[in-house]
Amino acid sequence: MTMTNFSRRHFLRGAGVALALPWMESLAKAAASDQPPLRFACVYFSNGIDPKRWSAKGEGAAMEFGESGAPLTAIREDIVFVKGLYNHQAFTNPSPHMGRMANMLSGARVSADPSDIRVGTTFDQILAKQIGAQTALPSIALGVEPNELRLEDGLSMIYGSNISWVSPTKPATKEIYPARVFDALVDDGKGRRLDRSILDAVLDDTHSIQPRISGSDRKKLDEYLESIRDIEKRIDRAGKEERLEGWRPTLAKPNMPRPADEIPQDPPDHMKLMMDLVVLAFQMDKTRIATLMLNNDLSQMNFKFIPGVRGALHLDLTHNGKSPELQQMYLKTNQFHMQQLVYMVNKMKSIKEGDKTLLDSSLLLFGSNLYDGDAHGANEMPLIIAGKAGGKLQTGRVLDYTDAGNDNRRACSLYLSIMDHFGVTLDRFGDTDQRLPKLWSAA
Amino acid sequence: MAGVSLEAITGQPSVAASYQTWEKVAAVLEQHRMPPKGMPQPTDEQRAAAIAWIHGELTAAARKNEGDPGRITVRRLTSGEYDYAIQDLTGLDLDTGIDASSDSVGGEGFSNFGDVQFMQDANLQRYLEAAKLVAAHAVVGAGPLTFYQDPGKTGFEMSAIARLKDIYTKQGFRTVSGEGGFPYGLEKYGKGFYAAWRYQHRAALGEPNLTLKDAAAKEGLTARWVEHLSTVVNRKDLGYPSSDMAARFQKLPAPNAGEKTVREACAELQKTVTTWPLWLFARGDAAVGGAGDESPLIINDTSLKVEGKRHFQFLRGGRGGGGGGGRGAPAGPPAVFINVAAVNPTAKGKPVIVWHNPTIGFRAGFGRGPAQPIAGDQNAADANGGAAGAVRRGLPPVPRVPLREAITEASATKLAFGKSIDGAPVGADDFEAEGNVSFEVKMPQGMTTFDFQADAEIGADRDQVFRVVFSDRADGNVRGIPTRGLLGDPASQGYQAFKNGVLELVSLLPPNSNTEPTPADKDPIPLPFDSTYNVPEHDEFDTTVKYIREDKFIYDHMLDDATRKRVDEAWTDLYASFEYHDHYVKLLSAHYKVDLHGKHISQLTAADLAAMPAEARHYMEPHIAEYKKVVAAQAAARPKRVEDTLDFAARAWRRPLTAQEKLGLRAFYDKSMTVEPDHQKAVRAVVARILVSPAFLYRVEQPSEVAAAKPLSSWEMASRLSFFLWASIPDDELRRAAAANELADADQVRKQVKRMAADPKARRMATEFFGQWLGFYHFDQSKGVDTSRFPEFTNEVRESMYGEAVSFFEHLVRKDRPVREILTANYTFLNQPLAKFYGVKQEIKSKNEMEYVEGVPNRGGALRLGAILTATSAPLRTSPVKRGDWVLRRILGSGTPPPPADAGSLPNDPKLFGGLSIKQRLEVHKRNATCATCHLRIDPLGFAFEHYDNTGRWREQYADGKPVEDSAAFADKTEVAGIDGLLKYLDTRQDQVLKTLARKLIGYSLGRTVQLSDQPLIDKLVAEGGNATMTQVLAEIAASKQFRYRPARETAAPSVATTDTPNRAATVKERLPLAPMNSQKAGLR
Repeated sequence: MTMTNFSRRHFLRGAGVALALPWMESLAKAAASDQPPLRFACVYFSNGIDPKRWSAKGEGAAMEFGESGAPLTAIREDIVFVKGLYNHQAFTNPSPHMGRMANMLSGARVSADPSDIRVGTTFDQILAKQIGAQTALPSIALGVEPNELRLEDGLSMIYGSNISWVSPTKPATKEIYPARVFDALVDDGKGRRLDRSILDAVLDDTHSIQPRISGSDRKKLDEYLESIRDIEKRIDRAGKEERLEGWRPTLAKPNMPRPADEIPQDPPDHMKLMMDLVVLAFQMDKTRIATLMLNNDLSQMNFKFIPGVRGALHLDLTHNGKSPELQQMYLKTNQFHMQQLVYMVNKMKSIKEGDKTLLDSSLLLFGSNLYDGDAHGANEMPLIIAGKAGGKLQTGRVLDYTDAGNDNRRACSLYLSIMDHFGVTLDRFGDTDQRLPKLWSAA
Repeated sequence: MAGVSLEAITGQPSVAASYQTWEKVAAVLEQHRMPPKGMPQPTDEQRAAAIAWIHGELTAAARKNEGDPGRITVRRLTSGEYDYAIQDLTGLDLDTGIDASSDSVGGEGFSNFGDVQFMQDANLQRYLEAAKLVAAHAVVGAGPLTFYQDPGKTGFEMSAIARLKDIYTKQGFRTVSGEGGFPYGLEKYGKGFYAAWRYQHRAALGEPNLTLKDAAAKEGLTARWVEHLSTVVNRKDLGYPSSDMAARFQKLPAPNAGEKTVREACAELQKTVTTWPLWLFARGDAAVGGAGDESPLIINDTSLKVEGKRHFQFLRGGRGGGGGGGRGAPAGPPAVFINVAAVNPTAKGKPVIVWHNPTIGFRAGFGRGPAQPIAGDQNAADANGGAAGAVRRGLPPVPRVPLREAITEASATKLAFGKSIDGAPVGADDFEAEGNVSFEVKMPQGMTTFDFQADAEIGADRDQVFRVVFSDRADGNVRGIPTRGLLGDPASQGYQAFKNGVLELVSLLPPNSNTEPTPADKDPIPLPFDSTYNVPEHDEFDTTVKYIREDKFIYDHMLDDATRKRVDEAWTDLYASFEYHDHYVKLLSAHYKVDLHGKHISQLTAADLAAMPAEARHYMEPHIAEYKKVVAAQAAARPKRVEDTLDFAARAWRRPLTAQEKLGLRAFYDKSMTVEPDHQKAVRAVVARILVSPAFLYRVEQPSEVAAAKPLSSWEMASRLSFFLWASIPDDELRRAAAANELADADQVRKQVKRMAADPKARRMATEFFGQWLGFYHFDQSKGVDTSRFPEFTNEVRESMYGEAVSFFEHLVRKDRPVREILTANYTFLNQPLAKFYGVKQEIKSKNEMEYVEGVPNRGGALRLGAILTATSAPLRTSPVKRGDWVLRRILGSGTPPPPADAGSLPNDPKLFGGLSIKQRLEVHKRNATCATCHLRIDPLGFAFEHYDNTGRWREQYADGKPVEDSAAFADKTEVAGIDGLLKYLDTRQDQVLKTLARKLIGYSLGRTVQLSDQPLIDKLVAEGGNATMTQVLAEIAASKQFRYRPARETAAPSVATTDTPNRAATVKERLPLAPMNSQKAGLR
């Protein structure tokens, strides 16, 4: 599937700056093709892996994994196991957690100033700004744990709670309530008349406040204005059926019941439900960009739902003091994480869109921001890519950039390549301007 | 000290920009920590000169800009502030769905710091939903706009009935009611009599100018009520028994008897007044409290009907008997006791009753007989005037024996059959009696009980009225509904007078001030409906019409004007909340078999009415009229409700509205009505719109228009004060002060602070300020303890622990304690679960609420709060490093940098320490010099807490049995041992602690980071010392220029200029008195 390339002019402001681009009507028309659209999702797990057990070698059906990756055997032909990529700013940041998660998808530097929340726009949100206009929701950012309010090493846990950032200073709102996600997917704009009139009215309020306040305050209220306009746009678009010709999603209405209003008590259920909702969103074509955090960074979630495991993921199991018993449990959590990817891949594989599967048209990026979880290692990240990305990605390979030299193993190169494929071409992103060699195929 | 570049800061024109770095430089120079050992050292003079110069520059720069308000980025309400504002606006504690996920922390460590807040569409969506949710709780009716805990249509109805019940219960009284109704408010009689007495004797009491109103107010009563009582007891034209009551009032003790005596006498009078009607209808003790007798007390023309001759049937041991209270042969000899009281004092002759045809029917058991028409008791609920055709199951018939043959010799002699006392004709088998009657029955073999029947008739004196009650106990006690009745001659004048007298009493001094608006099952319903219990019409009334208004007495004689209005409004709302009158009319039409052709009450025409039978019309017309009144009242209220939304906006937006804004809100209402003509919906839409406005969500302050700081407006000051002390909107008193422009005056501000700090709302400082500062914010939701290892750390314990911390800081603020007690308090707050958890020996009375307790060993002050001790621990063990860091950062205000990424970590589970104590583990860590620099500062502070485990409990030894080590040494070898040692140490650092408190308060109250120009204020607060009270400190901050002024107009940010312009300010570098310390630069990097 191809997308019209946009002129560089649109992107001269560069990554890391809020891109407030108008909704491009022309985009909608340009997308009328009979092929399913490309989708991107990033699923994140926290607290890294045990390096001694993390490995892969071989190709296709012959791929073999270290102990942590054992569950991946079931999907080895659908994945690319990537070793050696890193974010330079994460590696050099003194804060072992807070400096290394929020920038996983942007390669930006996390601000050390507690009074200035700042990192970088993540590439999924750059994609959302470009292609998000074609769907009811530009993107969705899901999670299982709420934003935590405390300070960690003097820095706000906001950095550990959000993997998607719409701008350097603002994370994408992460939704942890399955019911709310569901409602956003089925919202058709009807019954929002009162909302529209309230929003119109408070828009006027804001306009009358603006002239009377200071410049920096005006910027804050600009966020408020932007929010009003975003909601109004969404209300307007929710009712529109954009596709007049070409490919249509295989689902017009959800094929699962509305989840209960409350947070699911059992974390694996919660995680599974969120994965289902991402898949549903893709299948209904309500969005094509999604991120999902299975846990917040340094998660204290007790992983006792895995047989044989007991303890908090971060303090007990990751920082296990090398106790053999705890290391075994940590291994089980790594495997559990792999099982979530397997679940999602298989689910997407089972959904047919014409003669392709949903997985065929998607690119999933699965991984963690830390490598050696105990040592907060950021010299590389454990990453797995799944899906065929519309046919471009050759799966069933192991890519190892460990010895390629620091300049040639930047995660941002991967992101630039992915963005290219979605038709968003930037000169530079994060800490590099290079694309990732050998990403798409062995050739 | 990573990240300090001397080059950069010396290139700036002023020390102010990087003042914190300069302070650090001076500190490390002072402490000889820099230059590090091994690097070239300055001479002592050079060191002293550099330090003095830095301090001098800092002080000068601080003084120069002292009180600069500083730039404060506009803040959005935090999640806590939003919820409190909604609470204060609506009076309700609603779950708005606005939670901490939209907050972030910054500045001096608080969520009200604008720079780190952000807004995006998902937040706004939540605010939109929350606003609509709040608006759904608005009660839009005849009275002023309020909010009720139930939303929507149901809430509208519930709110009205709740208001009515509240008014009636608070202002009225009830002696008795049906089905479980308990008496209340009767002291209004006693107190009312006392007030009337006091007024009457005011001259003799030395209060000649006492008004009736004041006398009433002193008793907590309305003037109207006391006036009424006063009028009644002074009337000369009353009949019996009211005359009796009035006479008793006049016989109240003289003024010199003393207040206590008089009050006791008034209470006696109260008892007489309220129990007389009960006594007349033989309600006895069972009636008060409703146990057994669930019938309501009805005193009207019908229930007072008498016959000259009346048939009584009394079943011994049946219901309405004595002892057994139910079915079963009672104890004692088979006897009957008839209590007869002559109640008409005007009757002159002998009070004699002729008992005609008395018979006994012996029975073996208590079978049920055929249905019979109701006989006897006309005060039962199933006989509201004796509805035609009502029946009751009677007793199976048995052979009857004349009484004279059935009783003992002694009894027969006593009764004197056939003898007339007063000349009235007496049959041979009849007997006459003056007063009580009793006789003993001879039980035949095989019989267990009997029933007595007779026709009682008034004797010769036809004016007599008798109260007759049957019992099978000598003391006359009766349980449940007794066999009873009134006997009198309806034709006699005496009886008429008596009846009128009773009705007069009930109208002047009733047992109940009003009828229950929601009648119970067995309560009567209005005519013409059938009040028989459990018949379709009664049930239909109860389920569709539901409410009855009978409140004439309380309305006319007790409520003041304002309350009358509220009662009327509540009834209007209640009638309007569902189709009350339409249901009523439909019920009437069914009762009279009138066909309304499906018409709604609003559609009935004069012709429809004319076509009805007269009786039907008689009942319909008032309801139609009332319906029209209700509709008119609701319509008249509409514009008022729209105006109410403007008041609501002024409160929510924390300032008066402009004319434009008022027009805009009214237009919003009009537009909503055009789209959908539903008034309640439209008003709610306006309310929602008000709560989404940036004027509500943001705390907007206007900058100065000139290049100098200017005072804030009154309204901006009011908001600053209320958000500072209450994390919410100003209250009415603050708004009044703002409108009167009082808040421009610093002394007035101090006064308000004093008032506000004592207010219950100041509890919010405990969570929003202290909670965030000291790290126990939202502790009640914390999951930091591994409860599988510590199952005793239950939700209840955690919540109680949170309550302990919150109550402690609430106490400090509201009771205006000295600030030193933050650390040194010797009291804490416990409830039973928490006391048990801590192992506290002292007795705690309170099961749930937190109770103030003094002198609990090892408790008291922030350092010993369970919430803080737990929050600074790891899930399975204590963390002296975390706790030490907490003291350093939170109490002493100096942080340490984060550990290096490869610092390694201690295992969470202490079982994995390899047999070493935690102190020993950390010693190993400290042998590494890099680690030592920080740990020698952190550990001594953290180890002091070791006696408190990771859930805040005191322990003498570790889990492995080794004794707790709670001391550690600083770099200079001084040791801190235990909390006492730590407190001593902190005492030597009191200035630093006070400085931290001052910084935190300034940061929290202003919503910005502290800057150099705040130093004089901080110094002032520190100088006041630890004995300054909370209010003093809070008032000092509120009265400061920083707090009361708005910043100067924003100019472009000054650049760090290095170009050679003629008048440029010298850079710091150029002003330094010493040669640049190039050789030491490397060490300081």
